[in-house]
Amino acid sequence: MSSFPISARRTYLIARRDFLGYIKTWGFWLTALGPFLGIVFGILFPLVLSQSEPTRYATILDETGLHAGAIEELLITNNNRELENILRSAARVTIPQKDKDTFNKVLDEQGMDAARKLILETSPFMAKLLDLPDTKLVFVTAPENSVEKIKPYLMGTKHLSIKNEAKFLSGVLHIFEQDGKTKAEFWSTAPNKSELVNLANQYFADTASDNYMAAAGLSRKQALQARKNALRVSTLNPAKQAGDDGTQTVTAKDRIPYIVAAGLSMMLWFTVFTGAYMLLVSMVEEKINKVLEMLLATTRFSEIFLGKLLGVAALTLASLLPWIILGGIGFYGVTQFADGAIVDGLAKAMSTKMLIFLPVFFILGYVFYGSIFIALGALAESMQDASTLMTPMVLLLTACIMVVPIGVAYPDSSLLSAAAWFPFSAPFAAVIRLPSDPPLWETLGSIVVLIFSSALVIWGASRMFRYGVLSGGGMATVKVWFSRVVLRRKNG
Amino acid sequence: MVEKFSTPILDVKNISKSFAGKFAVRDVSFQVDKGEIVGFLGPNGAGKTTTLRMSLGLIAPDSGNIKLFGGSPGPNAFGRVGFLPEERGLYRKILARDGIAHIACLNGMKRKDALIRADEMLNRYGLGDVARKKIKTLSKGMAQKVQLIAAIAHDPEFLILDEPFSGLDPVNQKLLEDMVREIAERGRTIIFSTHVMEHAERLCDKIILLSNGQKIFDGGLKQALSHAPRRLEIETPSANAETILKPLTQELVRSGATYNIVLKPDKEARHVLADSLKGKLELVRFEPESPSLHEAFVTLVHQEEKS
Repeated sequence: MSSFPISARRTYLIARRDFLGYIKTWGFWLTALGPFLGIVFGILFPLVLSQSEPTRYATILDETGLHAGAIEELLITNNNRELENILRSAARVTIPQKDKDTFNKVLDEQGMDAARKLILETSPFMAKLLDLPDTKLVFVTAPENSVEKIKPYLMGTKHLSIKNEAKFLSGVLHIFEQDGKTKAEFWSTAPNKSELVNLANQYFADTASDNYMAAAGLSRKQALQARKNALRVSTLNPAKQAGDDGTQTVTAKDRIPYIVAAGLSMMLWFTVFTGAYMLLVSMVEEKINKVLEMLLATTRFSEIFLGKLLGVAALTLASLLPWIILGGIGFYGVTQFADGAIVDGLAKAMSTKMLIFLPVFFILGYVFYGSIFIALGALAESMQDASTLMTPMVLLLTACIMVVPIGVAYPDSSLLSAAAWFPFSAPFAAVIRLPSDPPLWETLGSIVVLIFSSALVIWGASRMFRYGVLSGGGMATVKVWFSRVVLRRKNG
Repeated sequence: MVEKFSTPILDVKNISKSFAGKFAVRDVSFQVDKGEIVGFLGPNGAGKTTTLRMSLGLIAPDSGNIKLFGGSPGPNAFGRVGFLPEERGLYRKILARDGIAHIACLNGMKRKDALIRADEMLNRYGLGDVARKKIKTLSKGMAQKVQLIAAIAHDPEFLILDEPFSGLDPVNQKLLEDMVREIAERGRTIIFSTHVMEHAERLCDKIILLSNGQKIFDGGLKQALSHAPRRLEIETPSANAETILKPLTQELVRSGATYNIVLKPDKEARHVLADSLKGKLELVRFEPESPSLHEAFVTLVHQEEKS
């Protein structure tokens, strides 16, 4: 018998059992594969949607003879702008940073086909995705010269003949003069499909703006250009060392560390929440299954406790693995394709302090909350009991995550500083504070608070565990327990 | 005959335990020696489960002392004890053989050996077919046998069984009895709690009786039976029978020529026979009834309640 109070083998066996017990469930794999499923769904869904959407044939019956051509022209302009945006987005993740200027020049000067060719050379897969389907709204010549005569086409009793195929007419935009005013009506049996209406409204709004400004001798295009050239306020930070440009201007490089810390803090919260919940469920299931008493005859309580913490930690890590892989791919992509300020910002975010303290707060946060949830699980007699016991903790956890937006907006907030000393919020608050470079003693203080709090919680959890599992204690006796076990009152 | 050793397997001295200010066990002492099968009897709430849990070190006594294998109960005895708790349970979603192997591994066996042992034992006890079935799919009796196998798969020196027969049908009770007897034949020590006196009568070398948290009897089976009321059934046509029998009995029920009597504590069947012969009773039938542990149990509990 080892003199060390914990047997590594038994701890491993408990951890292994918990790990394997969960990893074989559907829930685990759905969680683990969630990110990949989300990506596949995110790519496939719009593609399938666009493929399944039928081409709609519409016509403009323009009795004024002034607008139809312009509206059709606007559709082409909009489609080209959309394609250009897609090309620029695609270029962000396919064209290396050093070639970005070349790409922009090609797109601006040689057009979209040349730009697409450039992407094809860099990433054939991405270029394939850029083979966008043809527009789903096609204008056709009006089959008749009045709405009344066109209505049978809309009702489906008459059909258009396009390339020798019979097609439905989905809508007609009727523009006419009445009482000296131009009016526009859209007739359709599918009024929810409003693409043509939106297009026409955009055209009439632009035209109205143009006419109004022209009356004053102005042009809308010039006004838009003026907005583009408007003065922008620079944010400067006197505490910042002057950058490459010799100024103290706040850039993306300065903001990114806070955003990264917020993301990491959220990830820690998510991990703690998921892990702690799994620990609670695992404990309740073993209690309901009446396995614990048999285990305790062969295994120390501390081994069960530690084994569960380790098993669920491994499980949580496994379920986070896809996110970690995607994060790694994303990080690599950013370093390869994003502009320099973002790369510098990321490098600054993953500072030495962050690399050292993040794992520490991850572990302490998990142990602290995990121990609480194990104890709650030991007290619960059923899943309903577990839910009831968990509710206050979930509310507390939810309240604690509020430190994240505070940390991004007001990193010097006194509330945030206080939260770093409160054990329930300390893991999240301390991580979100790291980019603002708090004094080292404050970060170490948060760690000490968490270590002592975790030790206290483990002590309390062990008493609750023994009481809950072996002495028949349940929720109904929680009050009695506090009186007798914590307060050590003999009579009550 | 059980061989006595200087160091008992389990030595319980003056232990007491209370919950919420109420005594569950009060000043209980007993010993379990190597090779013994000990029956731990008592009505509901007598303190049997609490005593067994304290014997294993699962909960600590408020006072008193427990030695298991000569040392403190708990981690020092891991791997040497097999325990079947009163509240049965194994992981519901795993295979029967894996559930057995898991407990055997925790008791020190290597996983490969544990799986082989699990298969062997399942086959031996007629459960070979369910080895690769999930425990949640098994009947209650089968699951209970699987759990007992889990408790004994590592071949422990000392087996603690808390109400092992409860919830089993008569066929499975018999099978479990055979299992216990077979384990005992291999020289293992067993203590089990039960309400079913017949099991204790058939299996036990020693009986410990608890009532209201206190030990009210600790001794051999014969000694326990001596506390049971001695009954006689006599058939005689003689008219003076009642006159002759009454001074010897504490209870007499007549049904025609048949007299069912309970003897006074200081009287024996031979005294009745002697007085019957002296009074010239014409005995058609003279039938002493074997005392039952059940009656001894009831008598002892009744005496304890009175005191």
